Amino acid sequence: MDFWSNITLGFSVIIDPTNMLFCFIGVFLGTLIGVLPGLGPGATISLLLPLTYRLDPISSIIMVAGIYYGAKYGGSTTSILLNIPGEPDTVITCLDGYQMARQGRAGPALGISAFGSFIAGTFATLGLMLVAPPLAEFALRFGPPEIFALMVLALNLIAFMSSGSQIKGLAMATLGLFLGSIGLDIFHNVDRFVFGYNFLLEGLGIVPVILGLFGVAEILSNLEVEIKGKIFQKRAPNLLPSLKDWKDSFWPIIRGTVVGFFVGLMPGGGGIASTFASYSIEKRVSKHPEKFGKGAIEGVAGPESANNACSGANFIPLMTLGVPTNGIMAIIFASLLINGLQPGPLLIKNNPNLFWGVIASMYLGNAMLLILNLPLIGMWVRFLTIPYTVLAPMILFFCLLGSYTLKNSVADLVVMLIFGILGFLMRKFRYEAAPLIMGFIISEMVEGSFIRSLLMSNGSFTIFFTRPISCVLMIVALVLFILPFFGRKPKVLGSSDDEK
Amino acid sequence: MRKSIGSALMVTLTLAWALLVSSPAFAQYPVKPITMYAVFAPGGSLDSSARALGAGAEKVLGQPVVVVTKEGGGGTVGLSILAGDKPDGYTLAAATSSGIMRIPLARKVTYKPLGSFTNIFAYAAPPSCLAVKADAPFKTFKDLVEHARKNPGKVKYSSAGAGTPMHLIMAVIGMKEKIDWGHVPFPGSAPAETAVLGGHVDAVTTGDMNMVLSGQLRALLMYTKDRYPRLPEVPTTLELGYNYFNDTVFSVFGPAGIDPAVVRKLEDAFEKALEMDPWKKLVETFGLVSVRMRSAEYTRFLEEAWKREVEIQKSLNLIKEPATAPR
Repeated sequence: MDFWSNITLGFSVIIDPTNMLFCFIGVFLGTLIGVLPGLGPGATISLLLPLTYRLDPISSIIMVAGIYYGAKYGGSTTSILLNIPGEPDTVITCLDGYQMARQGRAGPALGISAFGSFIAGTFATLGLMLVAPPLAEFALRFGPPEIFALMVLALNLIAFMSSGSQIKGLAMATLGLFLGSIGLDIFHNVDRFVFGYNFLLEGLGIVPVILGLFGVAEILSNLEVEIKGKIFQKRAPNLLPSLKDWKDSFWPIIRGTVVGFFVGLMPGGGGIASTFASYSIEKRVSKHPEKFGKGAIEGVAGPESANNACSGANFIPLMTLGVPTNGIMAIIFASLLINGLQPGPLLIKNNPNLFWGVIASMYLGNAMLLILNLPLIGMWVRFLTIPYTVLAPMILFFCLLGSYTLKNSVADLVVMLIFGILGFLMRKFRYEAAPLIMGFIISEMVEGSFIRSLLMSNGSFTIFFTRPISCVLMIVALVLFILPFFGRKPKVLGSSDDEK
Repeated sequence: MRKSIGSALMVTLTLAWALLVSSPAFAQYPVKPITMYAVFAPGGSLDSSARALGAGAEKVLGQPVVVVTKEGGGGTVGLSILAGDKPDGYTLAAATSSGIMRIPLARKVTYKPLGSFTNIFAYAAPPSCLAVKADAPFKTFKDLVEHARKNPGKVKYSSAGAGTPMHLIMAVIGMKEKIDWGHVPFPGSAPAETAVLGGHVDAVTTGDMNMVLSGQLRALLMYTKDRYPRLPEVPTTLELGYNYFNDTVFSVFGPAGIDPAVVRKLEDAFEKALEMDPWKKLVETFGLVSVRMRSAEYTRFLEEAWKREVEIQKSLNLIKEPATAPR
């Protein structure tokens, strides 16, 4: 069958030492960049652009892809160890991963994160190989009404995310939706809440906001508490996940992979959205949802898998339709073009070497990442024993660096610091940052898809129900919304243990 | 003792040499690398074109041309920064003319569009068009217009945002032909194209030619001044009698007040760069059309474009007065 000849072709490409070398460089750089808070694959790849233009297209794409999904592996490290997301996508991992670390279970958290990422990454690559074209076609059928219906579903899930007061969670999500609307409105070319500040035209940057709410705020909070040496005193006895951990994580990993994969196919399907979705789903189906936010390994396994599956799936629209779904895909798109390759449905046919070679490199890259990351776990855990007086300034430095390098703009630093103070206050008053972030990132999609749907229907709301996919999603969302009011008293809704 | 006299001598000589070399009379531009801002994100046609142009120009100038991304605001962020830079010829920006003669009409920008810059060289015109899915029933532009006339309020087209030339041209045509077609803006050309591929809108008005050139979309109408060489059978707006075309050009700007001798050197370098391989390759892949407008001609072009654009936007009721004063 074609399958095997394609794999063989792919592996024959990747066996080439140059390609293997670039794969390794890519995943290594990616992991490094992922670990450093704020510095992201985008900035790195832009810096490497001149190099990628000079390289052979296959090698350069293999390297760029490696940086991209490598960052997803590395990002969870600081999330788990320091409650500071290395990448925006790993915000959710902070919630339970950090709690696990505080319980002396940093090793298992890091381990399950690495393994989950590996499994998800491999499955996503398999999916890319086997079902890319039909899946891409399916994703095309998601137009504005369908996206809006998905957003309604997402807003529903926000309620399940909070481990504290539901009302506060929803309030933060609303604040996030509002903050996401700051900037230039594409429908009428009007600036909203910009107040004449040029840097707000594009809206608040997601990275400075996250680094502020999670990074700076974390440091500020810790400064309040007297730190004797470090927060974690115990040396974790086991560095790898136990059998029980594996049992608990099995289904979350599977579900996370599936969710992440589908979110990655959608236009605008970002890594963060997939992790939020996975977390909410895990919490919703869990037999002990109250454990979430206190170190439930499902809260790490699911989102980490979703994250990596999503990054794999992101390649599908690019490779099969020639549509880049985010900035990094756009750079890969340009690399393809510059090298005379036309991204689109004919890419696979005309350039099988490239397509299957990149796919084979993803398998290899994921394996390399697992091998890279596992032994490092011991090193990272020991990293925690650095006195906080040294660690805190280092972290702050990286946060500042990460915010600044995005656009070489001091304004981003100001945003980060403002959100740092805000985040600190939020912690004092027990308002969670995760729902805010979720509201923030879906803001454009919620409002945009709604307005676009109405533009398509000339103002009629029935469009959400006359289209099959959107109708089904809306009904599911409504059911999910109403369900908790019936049947057994839900453990999740209504629990507000922040009164303790 | 001898050692310290020796090193003192070296230091003095070096200082003297440095002073001599940095004095304007002695300096031969360029003596150090040139920074060129790219005002759009990497991966796009402007950024890629800036890099290709820079790669050619640096061979002529003998100094590296370093491209630095300063994106945002449709190009206005980079231009704002440039307006405040020193006009010594070592800081330039590759930007689209829309940052000068279109966006400032709609909202207030911090620079003076016709006053804050030295307009050095316009090097490319990005083609744009109205396109439909390759398997759509509309084979020519007339088909689509007919269909829209028969079905008022039903035909929808997507775009990468309101206020862009691609959108405005459709609005002008709609007015002229008295058609009621609906505009659905998306945050970028990729989602706008996905919408048409998925059948959610009937057409897309876009500046990204890749899908058309790869065959997934069919161009019905080009917004270029002349027929597009890669698609010679597609008519242009001017041909069909609509007095509007997309005159956006990619160009290099510097802060106002650059020495004319330096400007001439840059013009020459860019002109030669258009003949070199990196540029030729880029034109092929992004489907750009090369343009050669030197400083004086380009400045005239911008002045006229400003006046024309103000008129059109007023007639479309988009603005009452330009939001930014030109000088």
